[in-house]
Amino acid sequence: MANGSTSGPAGLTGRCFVHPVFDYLLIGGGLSLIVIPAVYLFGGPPVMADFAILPWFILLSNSAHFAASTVRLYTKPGSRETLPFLTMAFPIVTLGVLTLCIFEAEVVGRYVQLIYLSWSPYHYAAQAYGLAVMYCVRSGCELSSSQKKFLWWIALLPFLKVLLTGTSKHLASWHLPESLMWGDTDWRAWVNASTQILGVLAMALPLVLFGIIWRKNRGIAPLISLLVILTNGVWFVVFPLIDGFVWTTIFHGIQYLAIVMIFHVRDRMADSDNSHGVVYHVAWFYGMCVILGYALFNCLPFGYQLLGFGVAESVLLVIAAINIHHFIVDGYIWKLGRGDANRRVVDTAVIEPAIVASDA
Amino acid sequence: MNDVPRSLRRSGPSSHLFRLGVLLFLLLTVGGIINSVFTYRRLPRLRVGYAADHQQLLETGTTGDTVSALRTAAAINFEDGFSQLQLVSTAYAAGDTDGIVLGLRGLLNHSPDDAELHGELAIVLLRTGRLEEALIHTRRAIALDPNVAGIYVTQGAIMLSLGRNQEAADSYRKALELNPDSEAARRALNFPLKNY
Repeated sequence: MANGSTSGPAGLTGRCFVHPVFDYLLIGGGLSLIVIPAVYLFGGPPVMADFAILPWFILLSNSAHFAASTVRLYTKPGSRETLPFLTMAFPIVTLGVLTLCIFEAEVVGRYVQLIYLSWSPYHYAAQAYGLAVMYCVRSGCELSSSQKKFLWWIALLPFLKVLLTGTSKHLASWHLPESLMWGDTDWRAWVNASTQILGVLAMALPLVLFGIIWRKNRGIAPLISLLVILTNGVWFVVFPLIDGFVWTTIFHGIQYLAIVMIFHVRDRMADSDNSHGVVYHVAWFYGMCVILGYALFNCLPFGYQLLGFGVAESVLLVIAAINIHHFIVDGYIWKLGRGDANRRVVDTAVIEPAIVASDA
Repeated sequence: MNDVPRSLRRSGPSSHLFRLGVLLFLLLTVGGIINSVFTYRRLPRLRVGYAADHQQLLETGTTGDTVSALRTAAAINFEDGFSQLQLVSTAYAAGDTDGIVLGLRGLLNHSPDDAELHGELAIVLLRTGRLEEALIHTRRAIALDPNVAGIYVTQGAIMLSLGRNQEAADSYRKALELNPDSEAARRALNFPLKNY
């Protein structure tokens, strides 16, 4: 495979994990740039024309992706030793805090909801940044620390836009006096102008940065790094907030599942006791994610309803807790420190086609 | 005890916590499955949110239970305009003023430039005696759409309640100017505000 080696320059395409088509469409988010315009063009503005399939789509993509971080946490080599609190105590801590929040849902519910809705775009931005840097590392494009810092802030722009919108719409209305909220000063126009500027910057600055890298580093960063930052921007900048959340949830889920399964399969294939092929490990990991996703999102709220809580707080706060748990776990399982299992995966070449073929 | 490596010393209580966490999760999950099977005669369905459950509650539940459930949903799910709308209409039917205010405030966060919503909220606030807040919303409604007679009637009533009779009379006159058939404005100008 042309891009399978980890030494030498990788060119414009970069060094992909599986195949440029797979990496660019699923991990880079390129698929969203094809599917979303197609849906709008042929199906009109509603996000999902056929709502009958929406729950299945959510289970197989979104719920499975949330479960994937937990499945990865407990299957990643060495995580129980390096992350004792996260692996051992965090589940019961999460359940305890969730239960307390459900008890006081009318008081704290909206804050829990606000935390998770604000944290989501931060999480997506952080993932886009991480993937962009990872592809640079794999492709032999050394970014300076100032370039990394610049990339980080560029990746955060869509998050800042969403945060500003959400804060001005909701948090302000909960705490500002009515006279300030609805007075004569048209502060909403300023907020709208600021969010539009942030949106333009989120689309333009990645191009500027990649131009700088090209000129200063005398080598080009892989296009997939640019694509992953731009698509995250498109999801939140081009579409209205709610549509942005729906599209991001779907394509972030696909992106996440693709990359986490690559890491899982690489770890398993490197295990000296391994006796299975790639397809087995993919099926096992994805199967576990779907089962856990179903249990978390569809069974757990019924458990709280059995205890006498209402359907809204049971469903909404369970979803919020799963999100927050996922964001926290994710902050730890993707570390690329020296000696970490992830580092080995990033540094190694593509999955050998022969291994895939032997399993199929 | 000190000879035991720290990681092993920690593993005892840690693994107990882990088992307890898993046990609780399993109890809640299995309980959820049993709940669904007994209630709906099927495994927990794949659901998106809780709209279907609330629809069922609207059709079969008592008004008090329904408004209470919708209030909780609207309080948590502030991003969902449909929740707020459902709360407003159900709370109107039940005469639950706090529910109406909560729902209208939620809707206003989605549509801050909707003069009609500001006007509606002002009326509800006026009825509950929250006059200063009501006045803020009438002013906002007038700033957004100054050609609606009804909002001047509301403003006149607020001013009257505040004892600001001259401003009340001015508001009612403006209402009559925009809608000469406004009975409320005519009555107010004929009796309590006759000398203004």
